[in-house]
Amino acid sequence: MTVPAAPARDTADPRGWGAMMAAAQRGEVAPYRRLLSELRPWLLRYFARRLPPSSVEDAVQDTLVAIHTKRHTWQPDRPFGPWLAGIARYKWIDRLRAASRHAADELPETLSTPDHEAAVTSATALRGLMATLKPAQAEVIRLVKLDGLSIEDAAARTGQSPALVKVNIHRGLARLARLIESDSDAD
Amino acid sequence: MPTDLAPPDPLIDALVADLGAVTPRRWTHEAALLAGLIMVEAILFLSLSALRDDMPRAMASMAFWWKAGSFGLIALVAAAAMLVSLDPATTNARRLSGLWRAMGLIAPAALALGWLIDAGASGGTALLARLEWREGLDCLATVGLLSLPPVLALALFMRHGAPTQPERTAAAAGLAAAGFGAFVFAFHCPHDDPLYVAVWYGVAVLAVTGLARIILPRLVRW
Repeated sequence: MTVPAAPARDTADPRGWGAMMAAAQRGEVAPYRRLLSELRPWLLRYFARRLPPSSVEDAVQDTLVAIHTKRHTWQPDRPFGPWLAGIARYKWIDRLRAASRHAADELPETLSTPDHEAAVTSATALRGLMATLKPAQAEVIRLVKLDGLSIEDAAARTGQSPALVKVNIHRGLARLARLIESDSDAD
Repeated sequence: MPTDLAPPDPLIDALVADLGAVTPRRWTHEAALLAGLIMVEAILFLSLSALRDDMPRAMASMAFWWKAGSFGLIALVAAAAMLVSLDPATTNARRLSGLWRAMGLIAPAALALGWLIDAGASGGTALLARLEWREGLDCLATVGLLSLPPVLALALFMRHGAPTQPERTAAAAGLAAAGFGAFVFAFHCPHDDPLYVAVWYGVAVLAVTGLARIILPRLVRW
């Protein structure tokens, strides 16, 4: 493979992904298939650490499609890792955003059913970041998103009105998405 | 790597089947296209509506260079930030955050400099009269018009690229386009009064930036 020996900051291409992507950009099918099947488990691990299990697979597929449609935006003389991480991170934030948009209004109908995915989507990612939120926001997010309480129960337990619970969940999640976005080294 | 053992995956099959050769995106390429576009626009606009009559005198005045220079600089920095931000690998890199910061600093600095130039000039006339709102609105509209070609070009680049912070990229695209528009317009518009420039050019730049910030992200979702 004719990839320049990366004179840039990253010394090597340890997994050979850069070389495979360079070949894919030239239209070579075999290296591309190999690259995608190696990226899949990497992405599975990436999202498993950041999203609840139910939305990991969707996020992986979204990201694979994005990698495919945007493959021309990788520059062969640059390391592949940061490019990949940038796209994965974008897709992750995308999911968190979507979750925070739907969180407050869709929740009451999906209370204790096993299918409240969107609501829990951010749960995994939330834990470490909760500390940065206002206590009122963190508390209702913890109660409703992580413990699965209804809005009403959370309201009763915290003394906040149901409307305020919703607002606090929405603002808290939106703030988390912003925090993650402005954090310059999430992986 | 256990790739040979991996179970067949319909998505990967589909993506592989869709593979075609692509040319890696180069931001230097896009920058050159943009520069060409601005030159064509300047030549067209200035041949249609003429350079300002007092060009030689203006060339000697600080206010004129402040005006053209500020908007030219705003446009260059914003365009650089915008183009660099289209690469997922660099959207969070340090050099980009430097460009964002520069973008935020230049505008206030330009205004402050304008105020200094203003303070040195004879400030006899009433503020409202100096605004000359009839011509001001004209300026506003023309700057908006002149920023259309660059904003369209930047929108295409944005679509082609992979912006991971679409709102920021869109705002930078709007700011760059408006900056180029104001820069080109500066060679036609006879007003060098910093107050006039700050108000009318400023409103035009803010409007274009705001619109781009709202509209572009919707066009380039990926």
